Amino acid sequence: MALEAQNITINVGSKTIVNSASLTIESGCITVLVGPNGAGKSTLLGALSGHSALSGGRALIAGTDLTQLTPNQLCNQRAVMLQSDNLVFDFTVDDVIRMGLVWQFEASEVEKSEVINDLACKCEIDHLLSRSILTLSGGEKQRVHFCRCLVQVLGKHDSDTPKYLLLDEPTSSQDIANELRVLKLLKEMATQREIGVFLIVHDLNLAAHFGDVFYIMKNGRLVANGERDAVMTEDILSSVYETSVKTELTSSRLRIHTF
Amino acid sequence: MREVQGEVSSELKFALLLGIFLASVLSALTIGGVPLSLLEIVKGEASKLDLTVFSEIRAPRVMLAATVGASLAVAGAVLQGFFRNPLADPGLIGVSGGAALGAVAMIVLGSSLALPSAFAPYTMPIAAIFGSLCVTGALYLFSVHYGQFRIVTVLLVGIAFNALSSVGIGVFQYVSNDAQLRSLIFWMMGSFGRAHWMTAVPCVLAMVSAVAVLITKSNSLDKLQLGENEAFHLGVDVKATKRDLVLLSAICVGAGVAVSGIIGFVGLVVPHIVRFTIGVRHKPLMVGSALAGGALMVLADLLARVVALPAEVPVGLVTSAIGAPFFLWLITKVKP
Repeated sequence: MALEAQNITINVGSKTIVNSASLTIESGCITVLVGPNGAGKSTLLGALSGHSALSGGRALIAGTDLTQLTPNQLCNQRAVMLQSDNLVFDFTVDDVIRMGLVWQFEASEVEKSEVINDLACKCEIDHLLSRSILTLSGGEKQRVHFCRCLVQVLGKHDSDTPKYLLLDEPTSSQDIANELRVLKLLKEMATQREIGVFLIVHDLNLAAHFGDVFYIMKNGRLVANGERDAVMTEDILSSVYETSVKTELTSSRLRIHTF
Repeated sequence: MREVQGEVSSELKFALLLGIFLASVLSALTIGGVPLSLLEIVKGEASKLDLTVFSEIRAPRVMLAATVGASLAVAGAVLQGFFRNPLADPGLIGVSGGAALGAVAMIVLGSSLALPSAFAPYTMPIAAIFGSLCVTGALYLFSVHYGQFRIVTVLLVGIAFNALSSVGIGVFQYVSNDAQLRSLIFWMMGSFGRAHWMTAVPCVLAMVSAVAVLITKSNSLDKLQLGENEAFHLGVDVKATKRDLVLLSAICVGAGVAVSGIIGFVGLVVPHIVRFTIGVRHKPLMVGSALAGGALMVLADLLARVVALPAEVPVGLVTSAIGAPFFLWLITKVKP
């Protein structure tokens, strides 16, 4: 059971954004995708979410082609966090988080509130629930959307159906403490709730510390994949980023830096 | 639990709004050139004249005003949500203009179509709905083509559509004969004064059902506020939802314009007042806008017919007098 990309190609106009990419997101682990700006990471995530039309290949969730599923069936199996902020009206934080209540089975108001309050605490936005989303800082807004996605995958579902959480740079606006909070939460989701997490990040140190499986993308192609020590090497990273990258391994912790 | 924060609960606010709506309907039914006593009518003690005034003039007029007000306000709320633009209003963005062009075309060309007379009450609403559908559809295609619309862009495109509609209307005025020109000018002034059960009922039914179906779309419209991708990820069939929203809001505006001409600003002012007082989620917003829009239009029409008795001022004048200053204030707040 996994969320898979099989030889996915996506052309926009005459340009190939994703070129024959194959990737597997297993339940219960964090699959990390890194690569330079413009490599096609977000477009590949769009394909795995079922939103983008594919020029070639296919995307499967638990063996079923995503194009065979309705938006409503899909939303009970995966949540997606993008890097966007489109709200123009004064929705409260609570309103926004409640949009994640897409659960397959009826839940009582008490059950819903319990899930929301618990996750809002974990995302450290519980004190903001009655605030207007428009008055929050960028980092706070990002954690609200993160919380909304967690509510979506942790709801009342058929427990046999595996759930996936796809995130496009979920910590881009977070300070170092909240960055750590978000990634620890993702680790907890993967190990304790058996959720398959797909994570696009730029911070290679965080990626190396929290990831279980690694993919590196450049110019639309997946150029390396596997476990940390096979993928996050000086040679591969230096050639992918076209910058001299140093790695240090001390007592099984990997440090990656450019100076 | 949802926090109430010591504020008036939303049930109480809705009860209050419903009270205002009923009070304005009752006062509009009784006040006017011929003062009526509802008590006498109910008891059967009213004179024959009073009864005729009530059933043939006052009641259809108030019903039509309430429905058109509700319909325009809900359409405004939906268009603002759909374009994620707080300044959208059916009149400002050209949707009402498109409906007017459709209706005018039917006034002038309708007689030469030689349709069976049984269709007569339906031809103008259908033409008006078609006109507003064209403009909403075109606005939507513009927004697809240019990705996300900026707030100002919708208004600029609306100016262009309004200009095009007035060109079309001008051409029809030019080619129309005297009788057509007369009914055309009467119609364009915007009034509920010609309300008859025959012509009003089909439009009222169309507006009421469009509003009812729109309210069922409120959850999807909430999710669309996050963005189209995000709405899809939350289980919304984005394409079908957008098609339904365009069609239904066009019915709301088109049917409203067909029976009453262009009445501006109701679709702008009412949803904003409801957002301030009740909230921005689209279900309470649409229900609240329907009640508040109905009440506002009934009161505006009441004012229009009693302020200069025995003459009437166009009801559009009253709504614009309230709406235009509100629009200016809103611009300073939104800073498009």
